[in-house]
Amino acid sequence: MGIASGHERDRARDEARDEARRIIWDYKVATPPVRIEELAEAHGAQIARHRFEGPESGFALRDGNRWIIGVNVQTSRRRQRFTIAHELGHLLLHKGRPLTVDQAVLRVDMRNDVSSMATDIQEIQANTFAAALLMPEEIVLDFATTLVRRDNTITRDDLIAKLARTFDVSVEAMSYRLINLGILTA
Amino acid sequence: MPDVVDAENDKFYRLVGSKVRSARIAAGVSQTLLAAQVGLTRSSITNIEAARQRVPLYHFVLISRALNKEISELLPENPKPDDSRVSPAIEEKLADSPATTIDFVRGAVARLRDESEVEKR
Repeated sequence: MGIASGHERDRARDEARDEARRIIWDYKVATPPVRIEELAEAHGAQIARHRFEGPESGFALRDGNRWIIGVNVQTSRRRQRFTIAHELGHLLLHKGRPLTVDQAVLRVDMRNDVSSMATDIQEIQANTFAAALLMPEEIVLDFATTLVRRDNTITRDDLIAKLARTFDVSVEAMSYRLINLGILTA
Repeated sequence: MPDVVDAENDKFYRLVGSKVRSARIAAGVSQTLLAAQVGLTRSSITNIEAARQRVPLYHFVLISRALNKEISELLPENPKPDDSRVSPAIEEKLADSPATTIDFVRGAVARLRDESEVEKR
C-alpha cells in the first residue's frame, strides 16, 4: 500500500503545525509578512539560491552540523518563500534525512510503492509546516476579519489576493490556507 | 533592524559579557577594581558582563589588557565556518539521484561558496 492512513496523516499534520507554532511563539512573529529567511538563518540554515532550468524547486541538506536550504530562483519570489519554509520544515522535522530534494511537480508515476509512503507523509508535513509558519492561523483570521468588516461585499478573489499580498505568499497558497482554516468553502 | 539579526547581535554581546566575567573572576579582580583600571563605573562593568550594555571597542581593549588576556580570548568563536564543500557522505547520496538533481544541488552549494568568498574580500 502506498497510501498512508488518514489517522497517520492527521498526526503528521499536527506535529508539523506544533513545530510551526513553536517558532511563531519563540520568535514572537506577529506581523505579516513573516520574515522566513531570517527565521531559517536563525535556526542555523544557510540559504543557497540558484537559478536552474529543471524541475527541482528546492532542497534541504544536512551535512554534519551544517544545514543548507537550496532554492531554485527561477520561480516567483513568493513561491521561493514557500520553498524556504517547506525546506526548513524538512530540516526541523525529518532529522534522519541528510538530503531531501523537492520538485515543483511531484512525479506521480513514482509514488505507488511502499517507500513512497514515508515520503508522502514527509511532504505533507513540510507543506503543513510551511503554510502554518507563513500564514499563522490567528494572524490570518485577524486580517481576514478586518477586511470583511471593512467591506462586507468583498469578493472571494479580492479577499484571497489581498491576503496573499499581505502575507507575501502565492494566491494559490493563500486560497488553500483559507479553505483549510474554514474561512472559505472549497 | 530585523529582530533575528538583533538576536544574533545580542547573543554576541552575551558571549563577550560572560567571557569578560569569567576572565575577571579567574584573575581575582573585582568589578570595582576593573572599572577603575579602565575608566568606567562599576555599574558599567556589571552591565557589560550581563550584556545590558554593549562594550565600546576602546574599553574592550582596555579590559583585555587589565585582565591580561588576548582580545581574541574574550571574543566568541567565529560562528560560521566558511567550508562550503559537501561531505563525501552527501556526495554518495547524491550519486543515486537524477542528473538534474545533482546539477541543482552542486550548483546551489557552489554559489554559497562564491558568496562567502565575496564576503571575505
